[in-house]
Amino acid sequence: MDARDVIEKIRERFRENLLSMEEKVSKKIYVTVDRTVLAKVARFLFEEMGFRYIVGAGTDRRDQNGDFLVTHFFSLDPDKIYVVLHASVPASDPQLEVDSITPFIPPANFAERETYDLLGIRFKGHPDPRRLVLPDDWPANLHPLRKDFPHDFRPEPVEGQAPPRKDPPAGATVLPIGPFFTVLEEPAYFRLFVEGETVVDTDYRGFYNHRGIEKLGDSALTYNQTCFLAERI
Amino acid sequence: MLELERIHSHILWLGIAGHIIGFDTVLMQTWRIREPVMWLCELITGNRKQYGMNLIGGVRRDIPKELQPKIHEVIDRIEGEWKALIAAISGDTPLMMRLKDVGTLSYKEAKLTCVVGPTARGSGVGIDARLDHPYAAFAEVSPELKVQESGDVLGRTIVRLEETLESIHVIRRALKGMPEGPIVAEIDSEIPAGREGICSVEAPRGEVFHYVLTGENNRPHRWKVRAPTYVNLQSVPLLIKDGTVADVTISLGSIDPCFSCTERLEVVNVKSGEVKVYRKHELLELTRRKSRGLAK
Repeated sequence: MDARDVIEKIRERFRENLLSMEEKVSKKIYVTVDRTVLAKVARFLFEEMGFRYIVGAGTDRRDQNGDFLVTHFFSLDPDKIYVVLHASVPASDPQLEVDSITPFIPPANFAERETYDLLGIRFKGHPDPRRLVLPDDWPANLHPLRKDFPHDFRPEPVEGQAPPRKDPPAGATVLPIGPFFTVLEEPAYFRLFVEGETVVDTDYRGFYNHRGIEKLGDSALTYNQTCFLAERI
Repeated sequence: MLELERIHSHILWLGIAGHIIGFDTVLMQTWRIREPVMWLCELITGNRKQYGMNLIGGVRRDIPKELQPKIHEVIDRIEGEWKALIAAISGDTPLMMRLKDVGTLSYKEAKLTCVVGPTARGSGVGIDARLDHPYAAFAEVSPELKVQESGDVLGRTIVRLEETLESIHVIRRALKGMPEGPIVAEIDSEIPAGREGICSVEAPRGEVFHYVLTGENNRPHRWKVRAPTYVNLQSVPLLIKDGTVADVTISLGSIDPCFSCTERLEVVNVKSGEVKVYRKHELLELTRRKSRGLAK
C-alpha cells in the first residue's frame, strides 16, 4: 500500500468530517479531523487498515488558534507510512473533551492519561482515567504543559491527590514491588495480585522520575540545546 | 555510533538478566566484554555515554580514517567473545528453563499492545525503525531483521544476542562505505514557526519517536518524545499474568526497563491483613532459589 491509497481510503470513509489531509513529506500524512470523529478515524486506522499506534499527545495552541490540539500518531510499518491524526479542542469548551480511543486501542492508555495530566484535556470513556505522570502531591486542575504555566513554577504540595489503587480480584493477595531503589534511576511501583505463587493481575504506578523535559524544550532551551537534552533521555 | 550504543546496551542487558536469575558469571563476563566498546565510544566522541554528538542538521564530530583500524580491532574482538559467550550459555539447561515459556507475549497480544523493539520482534512482529522508516544511512547499510516467534523471555533474549552480532556487521559495512564530506549542514535562516515533523529511531529497546511543532524564539512550540519503554511497559500485565512471582523480575527485565523496581517486595495477606516485607536481597534469593531448584 502506498501513501496515496491510505489518503484515498481515509477520504472515502470520512469525507464530511475531514478538515485537511496532506502528505507534507513523502509517506508522512497529516490529517486533521473534526473532534467528534477522532476516535472513529483512529479505530479505522488501527483495526481496519492495520496501523500500529505509536503515541498520543496534546498541544496548547491557545495563543495562536484559541484551542488545544489532540494528536494520535500511527505507523504502517512495512509500507513506511506515518499518519499524524490531529483534532482541535476549542479552549472555550469548559469540558475540553474528546472521545477516548483506549477501549479499542489499549496502548493509548498512558498517552491519554498523560495528556490529561499535562494539559487538562479529558478523554471521554477512558476505562482507567487515573493520574499517571504527575506526583501524588501535585494539586488538581494544574496542568504544567500549558503555555501559561512557567517551567520553573513549583506548586505547594497538597494532600489527597494520590491516584486510587486498583482493587485486587476477590481472594487474591496483594504483593507490591517498588517503588524506590535509591541507586538506580526510574523507580516504579507494581502491585501484583497473586493467588498462591501465580500472578493473576497487576496495578502500576510509575513516572516518579518524570523530569518535564518536553516543557524545558518548549520554554527554556533552544533547538540545539534540546538535541543534547534529547540524547540524555 | 547508534550501533555501538545497541551493542553495549544489549551486552549490558544480558548481564543484568543473568544477575536477576542468579547467574552472575554472565554478569561478570558481559561487563568485561562490554568495556572496550565504552572506550571506543570515548575515543570517537569524547564521552563513554551520552555522547553529545547530535546537532540540528548533522553531528559534531567526524569518524577520522585513522580511527578505523582501532574500531575494527575492537568489534572483531567483541564478535569473537560474544560468540563464545553465546556458546557457553546456550547449553546451560537451568538457564534455558528460566527463560523458556516464561513471560510470554503472543503475536496477537504484541500487535494489540503495539510493543516495539526486541519485545515486538521476540513475539514475531517484524518491525524495526531502521528498516521501516530508514533514517541516517540505514537505507544503505540496512540490518537483517532478527525475529523469534516464541514470544517468551528466551525469544527476546535470542533476538538481542543475534542483533548484537548484526550490529557489528552493520558497523563494518558503514565504515566501508563511509563517504567524505561535511558532517553538518549549514542552516543560514531561522527555522520558521508552525511547521511540524516526525521521526522514529530504533534505539536498543525499540522505537524512539519524536514529534516537533516549530515555534518562535529559536525553540519548538511542542516537542513530544515517546521512548520505547512507554509502550513496552504497558504490556507487562500481560507478560506476568499467570506466571509465578519468582518469574516476575525476569519477565519485567526482559523488556529492558530499568531494574530499579525490585528494591523491596511487600506481601499483604488480604484475609488476615498480615504484612511481610521482602528486601531486595530476599527477592533475589527467591528467584535464585528457583534456579538452584532447577539445576538439581
